[in-house]
Amino acid sequence: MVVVDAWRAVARRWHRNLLMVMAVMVSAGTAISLIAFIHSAAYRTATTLTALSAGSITATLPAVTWQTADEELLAAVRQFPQVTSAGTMTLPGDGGSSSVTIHSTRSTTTARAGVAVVTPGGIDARKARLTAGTLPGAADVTQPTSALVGRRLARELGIGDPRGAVVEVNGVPIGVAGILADSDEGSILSTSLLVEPALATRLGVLPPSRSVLINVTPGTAEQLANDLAAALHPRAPEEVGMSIAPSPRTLQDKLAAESATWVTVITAVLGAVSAFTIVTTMQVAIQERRREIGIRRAIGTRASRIALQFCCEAMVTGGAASAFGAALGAISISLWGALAGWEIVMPPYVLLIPLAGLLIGGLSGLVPALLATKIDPAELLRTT
Amino acid sequence: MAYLQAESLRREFPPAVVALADATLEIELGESVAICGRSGSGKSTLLALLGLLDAPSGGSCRIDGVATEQLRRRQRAEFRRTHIGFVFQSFHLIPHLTATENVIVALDTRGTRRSQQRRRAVAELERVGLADRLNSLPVTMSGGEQQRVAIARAVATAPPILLCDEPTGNLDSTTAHDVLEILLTATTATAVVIVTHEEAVASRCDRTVWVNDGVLTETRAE
Repeated sequence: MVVVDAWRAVARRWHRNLLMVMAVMVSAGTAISLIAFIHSAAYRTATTLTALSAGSITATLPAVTWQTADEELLAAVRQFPQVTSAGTMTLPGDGGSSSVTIHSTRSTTTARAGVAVVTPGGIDARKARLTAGTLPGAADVTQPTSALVGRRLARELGIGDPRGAVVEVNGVPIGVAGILADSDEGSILSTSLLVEPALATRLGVLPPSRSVLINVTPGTAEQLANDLAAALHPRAPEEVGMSIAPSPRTLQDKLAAESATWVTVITAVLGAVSAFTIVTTMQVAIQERRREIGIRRAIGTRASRIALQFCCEAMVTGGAASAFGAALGAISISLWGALAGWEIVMPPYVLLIPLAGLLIGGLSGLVPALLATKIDPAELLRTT
Repeated sequence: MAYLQAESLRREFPPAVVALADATLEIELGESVAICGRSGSGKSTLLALLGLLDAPSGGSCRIDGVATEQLRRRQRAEFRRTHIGFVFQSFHLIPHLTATENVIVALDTRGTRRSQQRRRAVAELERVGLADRLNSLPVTMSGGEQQRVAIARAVATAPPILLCDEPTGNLDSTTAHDVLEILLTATTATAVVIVTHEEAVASRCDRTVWVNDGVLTETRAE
């Protein structure tokens, strides 16, 4: 009966509760939109990063392995069906190689840049692409005379078209076979000279360690790491360093967890705003309904029953408004996602928002409800 | 012993206002008593004390043999629920409830079984001539209709005592006459106390008690 009474009072006095309903709705809608947005952003970021480094392992091998050709080194690795691509990709920062001075004979421009020691397999594994020219020819294997230039370095050196372009490194003329673009224009690969191991040896810039990039089926990197180390360097697998890129799920969870604090703080603020609005509106309602409370007290209604009724009204309003607001918020963020091309991810706990509204309503209605029981029914004899 | 027996009932308000001084009054079941007096004479104070809406500063008020002045706030509410009905000058209906629902509030408070509440509320409203206004909200009803709903609400639980504060004060004379007729005929086995300053209303009651500056100065049998 008390719930029916509460619902009746809320429904028939809806215009008096409009501010409270709007505030709770906006809070619930904002909370659900925010939670969905943050989880969707984490999912999207994780997906993007995963696409770039999906199940990739970087193996760092000792310098002695430079004596082994890429194909021979990777033959054992490629026998694993989970390996999708692999190749040498030793970036300037990886093996301690120093930078060199590069002089473009065509534009007479000079620049300092790092030297990346790469193989076609490594370029493929990195998913870098040629924007001009070709990979160094097969003839280069025995007498290496050409290299690739990172796109940003090519711009610095004034090399737009690689055909006929020549650069000098440590006094050695090297033909520019092509220009390579990495996924990120600011990456170290974009600002490097890319040479094969034989040419690095000739130039005297061979790094003291060799990095091999191995792409595997997502989710298998952890279990493959030890076997791959043994396959790459059977004589001393313990000398092989294995670096594994995080899995998409781990990454998404980590990103979502990092934003959880902010979600919690913002949700708490929205909850507090709702609670404040409910308390204020209920207090106003109780002032407006002193006569009604007096009537109920006069006919002998227990004070606890009156308090329960006002608590129930606050709960009904909080629960209904938050459920409606959450639904509107979910629809809004889903529509926005459809328009923006985002996949919207909503964690299951958003279903608890109406329950939270119910709880906040009940707690917020408690103090006004207790105040209601203090009203003196004798006021009825003094009011007209 | 009378059903309602007030003896030397006193109500003071700080610092030194005596709203009611040593009021002694006895009322039997089935008897109607008018309490008359000027504005501020202490009529409403007396009604509040008899209705257990207020606690006396001194004296005693026994209802059905119970010394009500010793009851605590919660016990007074319980006692009101079972023994007393009220009709107010300004009707005091709950504005967002229909006529039937207003009567049901009293029945629900009294503990009437839910399955019987609506039937009994409708019967009471029909008895006061409001069969066609069962689902009307107070705001859509006339003053006379609202007061009849208030009477139906007060008598629905069959309280032994019915206290009425200026029940016809806000009504025109024709409506007031009708309402008073309903009030007195609906309460044949009830002790009815009507606070009024209208001679016409007082003349319809069995007895009239006059209150002057907090003192019951005259009791006159009609």
